[in-house]
Amino acid sequence: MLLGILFALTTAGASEPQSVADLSAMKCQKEFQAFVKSKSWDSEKIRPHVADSYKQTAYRSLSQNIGQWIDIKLEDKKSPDIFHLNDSVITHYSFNSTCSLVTKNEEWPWHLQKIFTVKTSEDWSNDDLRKSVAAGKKGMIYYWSPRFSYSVFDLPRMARLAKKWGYEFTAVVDPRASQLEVQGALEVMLKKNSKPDKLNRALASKSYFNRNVSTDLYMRSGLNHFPVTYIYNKQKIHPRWIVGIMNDKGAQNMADTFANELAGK
Amino acid sequence: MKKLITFLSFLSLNVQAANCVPAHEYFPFEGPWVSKNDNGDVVLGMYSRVSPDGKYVLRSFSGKGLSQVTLMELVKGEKNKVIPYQTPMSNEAFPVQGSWRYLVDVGGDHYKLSDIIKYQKKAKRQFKGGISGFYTVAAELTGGTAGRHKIRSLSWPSGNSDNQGVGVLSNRVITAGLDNSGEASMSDKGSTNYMCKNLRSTDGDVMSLPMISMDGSEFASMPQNPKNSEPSMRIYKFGEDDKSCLKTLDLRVMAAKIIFSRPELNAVLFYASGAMGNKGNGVYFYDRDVKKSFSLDDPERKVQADSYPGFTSDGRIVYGAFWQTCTGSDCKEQAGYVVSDPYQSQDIIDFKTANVLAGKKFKECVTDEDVKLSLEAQASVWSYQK
Repeated sequence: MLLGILFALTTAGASEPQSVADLSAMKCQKEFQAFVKSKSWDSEKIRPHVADSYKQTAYRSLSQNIGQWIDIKLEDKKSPDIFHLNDSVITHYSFNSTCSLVTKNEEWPWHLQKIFTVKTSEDWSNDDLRKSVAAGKKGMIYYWSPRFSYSVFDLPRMARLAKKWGYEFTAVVDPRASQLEVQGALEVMLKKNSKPDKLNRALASKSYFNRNVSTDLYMRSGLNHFPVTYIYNKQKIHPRWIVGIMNDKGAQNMADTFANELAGK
Repeated sequence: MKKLITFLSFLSLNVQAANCVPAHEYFPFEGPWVSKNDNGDVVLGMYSRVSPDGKYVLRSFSGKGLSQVTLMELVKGEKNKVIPYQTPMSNEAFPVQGSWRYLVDVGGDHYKLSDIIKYQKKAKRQFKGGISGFYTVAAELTGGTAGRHKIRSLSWPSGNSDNQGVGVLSNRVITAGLDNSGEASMSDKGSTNYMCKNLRSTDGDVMSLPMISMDGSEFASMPQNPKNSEPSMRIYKFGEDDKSCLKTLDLRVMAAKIIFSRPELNAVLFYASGAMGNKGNGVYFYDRDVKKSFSLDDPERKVQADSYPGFTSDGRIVYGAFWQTCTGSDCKEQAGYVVSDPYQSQDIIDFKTANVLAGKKFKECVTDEDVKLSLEAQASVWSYQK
């Protein structure tokens, strides 16, 4: 599946700016194809992704298996690099000068090690995401940060609207922020409301933090901007997500579009 | 003769090197004003905007300081430092890009930067104008003078027009000017233009993460649910009617807000969480002429960006970041602002070696003289003289 999508993409002739990879200029192509085929990795879709260098073309594969991701980096006249994420373990597959497969575990960058390799039982992880999605209900995950004011101030409104529209609602927070930072932002949110109701107070309570250490949401461009809202339904997460805040009608249209698509409507 | 040529080459290289700004300069947050979290991390403020001379960063704060906006001055010296100034603004306040003649609060109140520096929270509002809505950005249109200038602001207005769909962007062009005493006022409040109806069949009608170019002629945004294509950050030109939108570039990646360079440099910056095994630091430099994306890094410091970056008019890149300073195996984590010269990055040097003709686009480095000219040009704007 992964291989089929990758070839379709690389031969689609998409225009600027990321030059679409020309697999014929790549070393160890046969070995690469045989290796990918042997893995039978699931791939819902493949998107171009940011690369290390101008020399490189990178792709990210979205999977319907939560916590399973693949990044592929291609470079002319070089053999490909494949990174497979299984929850928090990254395995790097490459090919040596004789095109033999080389496998090694890859560390997270130092700033992400603090997040994905040190977690507590209170943190919100891939397991929590699996649990939410597996029930098959319609839901939204609202990912916010105390570093983005709109994401904080919009939290009570989205919680209220989700309930009104029939969605399960889970708020999860930027894992880079400390407990003090999160609590401080929620207190500001509470003060901003002249008449904070029960919901506002509940949101500002400690038990609602859900520090998000889900690597799956990280791979869904999860640290680029806040808020970002993910929609799930029928045991699947939609491969697109809602970035930023919008008015009631706009948010409902987007959420319903994604939920209906997941339901095959 | 050979020795003379070698000596002259050596001399030339050294003269050039002496004239280049450092590849990376560091301005750590140090002092009693620095906020530290209970996990020991310094709070930088991720939503940041950079002045054209690289001297100031406008940042939105976090945690209990949420909704506060501070202006941070980067002071170069024997030991680089950062000086914070309080402002009367809140949330995602923004500068009028291109000129940075004004800093603007989310409700449309325009302030002079010189007043913020002098009076901080008590700075006097000059006038109120422009679009008022979520994620507003603004830029001064080309050809403005102190006495008369046009400012285009772009946003989702709070009240959407029913026939324009939801999530659609809108813009407004106002005219303002300073009198002989340096007081600014608005002479034309403009009108709201609902935009991009012509793109509905391709890019959909829900845009996110808008950002305007320095001269206000273009904007970047990510369509949330485009038809027959994947969501990706795209650049559009404002139509002559101020309503239609002409797509000029699809970056084909999902990124945070795009930051435009001075138009002549024809480049953009963006922040994005990287790929697995990524070597970059989170800030990506895309050159629109050579159509390539370059990463910036200082491997010795293991820099990791933690704010949206900004361009100076001379081409340097400024961003909030964490980095490590190591002595042997003993590493100390620091936080603050990094000022990088993209032309001295290994990625661009490699490109120039491999692509001699196309590589001519990139100069050797940003020089001290380039920086001096940027500072002088900006000081002239901030004198608020006619």
